[in-house]
Amino acid sequence: MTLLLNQLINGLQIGSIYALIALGYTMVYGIVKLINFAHGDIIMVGAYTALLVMTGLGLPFYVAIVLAMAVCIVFGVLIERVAYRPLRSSPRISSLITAIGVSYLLQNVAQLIFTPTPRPFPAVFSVKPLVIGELSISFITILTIAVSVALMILLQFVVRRTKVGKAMRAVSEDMGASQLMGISVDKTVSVTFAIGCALAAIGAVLYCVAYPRVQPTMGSLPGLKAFIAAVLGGIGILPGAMLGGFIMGIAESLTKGYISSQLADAVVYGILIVVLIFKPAGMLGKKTREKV
Amino acid sequence: MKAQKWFSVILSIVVVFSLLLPMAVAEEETIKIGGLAPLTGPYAVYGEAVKKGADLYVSQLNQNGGIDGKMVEILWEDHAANDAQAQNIYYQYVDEEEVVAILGDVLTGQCRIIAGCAFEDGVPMVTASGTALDINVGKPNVFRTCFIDEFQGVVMANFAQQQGYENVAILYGADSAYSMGLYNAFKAQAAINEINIVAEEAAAFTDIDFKAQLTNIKNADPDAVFLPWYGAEAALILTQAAELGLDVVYMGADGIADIVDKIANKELLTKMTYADHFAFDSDDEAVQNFIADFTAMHGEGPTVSFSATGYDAALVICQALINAEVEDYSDTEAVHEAIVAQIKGISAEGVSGVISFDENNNPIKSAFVMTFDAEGTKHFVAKVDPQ
Amino acid sequence: MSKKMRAYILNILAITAIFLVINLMIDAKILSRSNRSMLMDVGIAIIMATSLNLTTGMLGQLALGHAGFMAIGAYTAALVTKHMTVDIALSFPLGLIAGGLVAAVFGIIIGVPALRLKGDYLAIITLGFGEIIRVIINNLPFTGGAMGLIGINRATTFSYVYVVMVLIVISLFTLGRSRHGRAIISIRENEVAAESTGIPTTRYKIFAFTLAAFFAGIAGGLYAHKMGTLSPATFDFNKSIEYLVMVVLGGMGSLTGSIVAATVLTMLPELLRFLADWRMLIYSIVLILMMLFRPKGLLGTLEFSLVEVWDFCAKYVKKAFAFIKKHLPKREQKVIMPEVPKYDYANFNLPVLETDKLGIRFGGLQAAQDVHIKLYDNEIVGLIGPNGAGKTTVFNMLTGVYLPTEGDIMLLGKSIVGKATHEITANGIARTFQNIRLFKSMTVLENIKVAFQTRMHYSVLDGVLRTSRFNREEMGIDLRARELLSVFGMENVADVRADSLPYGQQRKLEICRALASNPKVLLLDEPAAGMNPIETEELMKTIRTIRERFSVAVLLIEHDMKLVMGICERIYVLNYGRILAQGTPEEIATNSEVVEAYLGKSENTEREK
Repeated sequence: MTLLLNQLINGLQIGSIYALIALGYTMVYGIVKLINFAHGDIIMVGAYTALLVMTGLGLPFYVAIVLAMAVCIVFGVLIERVAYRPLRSSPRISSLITAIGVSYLLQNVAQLIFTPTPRPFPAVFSVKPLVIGELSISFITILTIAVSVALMILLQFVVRRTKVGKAMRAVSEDMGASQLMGISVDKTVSVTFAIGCALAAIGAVLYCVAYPRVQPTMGSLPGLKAFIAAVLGGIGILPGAMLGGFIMGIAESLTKGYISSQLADAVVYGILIVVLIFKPAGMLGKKTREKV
Repeated sequence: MKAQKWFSVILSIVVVFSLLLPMAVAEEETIKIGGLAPLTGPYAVYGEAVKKGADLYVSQLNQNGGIDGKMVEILWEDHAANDAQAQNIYYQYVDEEEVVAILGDVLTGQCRIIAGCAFEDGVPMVTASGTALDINVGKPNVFRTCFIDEFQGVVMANFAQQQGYENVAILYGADSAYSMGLYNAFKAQAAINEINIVAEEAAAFTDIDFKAQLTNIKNADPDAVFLPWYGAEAALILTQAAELGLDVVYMGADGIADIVDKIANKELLTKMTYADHFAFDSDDEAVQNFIADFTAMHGEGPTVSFSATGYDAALVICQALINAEVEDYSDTEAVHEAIVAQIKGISAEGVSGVISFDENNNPIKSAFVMTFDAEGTKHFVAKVDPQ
Repeated sequence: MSKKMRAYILNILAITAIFLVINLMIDAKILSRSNRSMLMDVGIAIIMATSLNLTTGMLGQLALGHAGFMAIGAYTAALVTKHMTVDIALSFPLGLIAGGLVAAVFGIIIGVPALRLKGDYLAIITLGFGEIIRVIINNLPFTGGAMGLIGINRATTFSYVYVVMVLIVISLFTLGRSRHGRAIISIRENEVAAESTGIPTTRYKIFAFTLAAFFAGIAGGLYAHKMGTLSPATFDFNKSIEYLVMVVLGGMGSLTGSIVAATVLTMLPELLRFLADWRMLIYSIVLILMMLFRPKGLLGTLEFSLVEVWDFCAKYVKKAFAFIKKHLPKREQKVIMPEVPKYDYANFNLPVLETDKLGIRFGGLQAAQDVHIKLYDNEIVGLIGPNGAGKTTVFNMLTGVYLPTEGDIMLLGKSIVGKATHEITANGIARTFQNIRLFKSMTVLENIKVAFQTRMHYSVLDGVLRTSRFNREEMGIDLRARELLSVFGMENVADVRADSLPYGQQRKLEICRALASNPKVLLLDEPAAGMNPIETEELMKTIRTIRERFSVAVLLIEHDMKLVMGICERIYVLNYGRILAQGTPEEIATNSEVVEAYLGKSENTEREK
């Protein structure tokens, strides 16, 4: 029983990180219908920024988070403006390939600057786990889950209740009509990228605290996993990203713990496939039908 | 349409140029060795380590007049651990550069491919880091200056017995030939030594989260955990194990050698012992000289033991050339044969000990069990000789 | 001599010349083994890119798991040659075919569930399958797992790769220009229209996906026997992306584009090796710039034609061709005309189309209920009603786009409920759409030819091998398609891209395409929408002509009362999903209920037009 609980907590931790990154993915997808493959590499940018701020400048942890967010926002908005905006009316696959190109570019620039060698992320918190009865939970796990859930609630509030959120929802429904209603589409898309990248930066720091290894290619795997989480929950839907992230994290952890670690990926993809076959728009997605 | 024509013109130029490129390389009066290593990408650390070690030996040799007055040069082309590119570079070395031998490759995957090619061509090949058993099985012209995974596994299982560990858990990488080889060897020897394997958990090299497996291991309550991983993964595992409150000792193999600058909390390293090809803090004069020369040449000391085996690999090839007393380098086939014959019977003083080869072309050399202090400096624990 | 014949001869000459030159260069040791090895990599990449182009470019379905099929082919072929005790000269080709077949089987297994999804969802599900394949190979007892499969006979030679590559590329080329290729491309252009033109879209999607998997499997077999060692990690997600980049960069749907991109992108890393760390950086920048400045890829959907280049640079060579022509035996080919289906329709007094208590419910919404419509031979009948009355819903039920939840539809006395749209089209109902759905990037003539699908019979193999059956049928439909266009006065725009036609002609083309499937019943959904009065006038004439010439019954939805009252013999009025009234135009015009519910608003509707 304790073992199961421990495994569930392990799953929740990695799941909440997936969810956090998936939120950025899903927001961007919802609004520009682009699979932003470079989103994972924004995590890498955030991680190196935090690392440099902490080890190079010797500044404290919270400063690192703020600076990482700032740098990621700059990167995200810049990438959108330079690489994605000119392609908004081109075939979708062109933007997809551009996103892949941007992803390679970020990885390779990082490789030139920082070398491919992984670097350790400084230990921020004491590593003594919290013991409740037979259960032991590390502080990092609690922090990760708490921060993720808090951010998701905040984001939901922004999208549902604020003017910016309203604009974002309008643009994701119909770009042309929103423009006619006086919404600046460009600005709204930029804001979406900025929010998505800020979340990625926070995700990056939490990720590094939990898995203290920083390297140029570190973003692609969590990026891919987060994207799958977003699709699983229903891409474009914020609670869907959360749900997808948690389900993936728990499924991974339980498969690794009870079946075989080698099958963890297969189980995750298997869940995705089964869900998509029965609910083609993801768990929380609404089925849309092409109007004939 | 205009743009397309333009593209096709450029394309044809590129194609023609590429076909002519290899012919433009001029012949020189040097003895060439083909060095194969990933010099970019995530495995560049190992490639660079081998390269720096081998380059050090060659520069020393050349300073002392080379071989019969001829300078030796190791060519290095990067393939970034890509199989197809490694093969292409090999062909280029053998056919166009007419190298006397191949030094490399570095990772097991490419070693296998290159060994297959080298065997067909009869080109002598010496790897400094390919520890998987099958690389040179049945290939009389393929040698290595590192010990094999099986040997390391046995060494660490014997070490565990010495230390009196009764219950040992293993966390291995199921997607890596390196990790699997060590895992199997360790497990077999543990059975002989009557050590209980209380948990066998698998993970992948692409993983970053090992908590699920470590939770299971913690549940099995072992005395020690065997970690057949490279440094970067082992660093993650040690950190996450500490988070979970898993308080045991750890054992590893030569892959652990590069862990030091990959882990933030160096205190965790004090619980780690591992098998290495080479002891950096050895009092041995040859070792100390090697470290001094290495630092002088490259500006920093060696961190990974493959620098030492790389040095030895270059040494083995050049010594064989000297012993073979080759006069006519134009008959490459004869040169290759002579080198293979000489390496077989060699007994040379390398930095990682006296090097000679057994009937399977593997070095007869000792393993060094090492550990770390809280600053991450490696310390010698024991020397284990082959049976 | 025809342009086609010249193209054949020229292409064969060029292919043989390249082959001979490269082989001579190999013999003369001008090309070293590293060059040769690189050329083999190029050939394998070309097979992968062109076959992926079949799914992604021609079929228009984004697939991210192509490397998975390559892996299956590679392992299957390697295991076959390793375990078969016969000579490698025999076991190698067998292994390649086996690799292709096993990959194709997986193509079906994956394609059937995956191809129900579209766009990004299809992309992600193929990605998932690709990764699962890799995990499975890693864990099977006979693949060597993570340790890899070693000691594979390195039997792949340049000639082998070249011949296989040429065969595959040629069959993709010829396939693309057969009825099957047209069907596949029409799915990319407009899936709904393709289905209602009589294309079994699901079957063609799976066919294209499976064929691509088959070729990828063969490429895998060549790769395995080139490297001599396999490890599952080679065939990861990035490998699939690599090939996708080739397809997109070369131009989706352009095979020559894929070939060029595969060649350049495979050679580039080798050529730029001296740049070390910088080469991947350059690659990524080139990728981004290419997409920004040529978002449709290097060649778009264009194909590079050797004939045009040839004609351009050496006109006098035509004389030589003329000479060959004179001495070639002449062969008259008999043209096979598309058969005219004989609808077994015994009792002339029964309606051609009849619905009985037809209704549909979407969740809680009853969109149509108790709809009775009868349509007799050679009749023009109107279906009118206010917006949202359920008119198009009725059309969608008639054509099988929606499955009615109640009632029955009888076509020529037989129920067609539950049949797929393409089957219904083949049985004799054709339609047009409210918002025009043409195969935009295809020519006018090709648009029509797609619709002959239901009446053509030559097989895939006929198409690939260009048998005489293929030629005769294709010549037949070419004649018929042009004839049909000339009825509509569109023969002069036959070779124009469909989307470059003016609006009125696009409407006409859609009607023309519907007629090409030789229907018994023609459903027109607001044919006059967006037309000016002169065009509408012309349309009325056209509809009458159609009825006379093609002896079809026409059921049309229209808001333009002038048109409805002018040509319809009978009218059904639909309101809130039910038939409100029916009768002759005069009866309807004076029906008080209708006037109240519908014609009372006629001023508004007329103003809209």
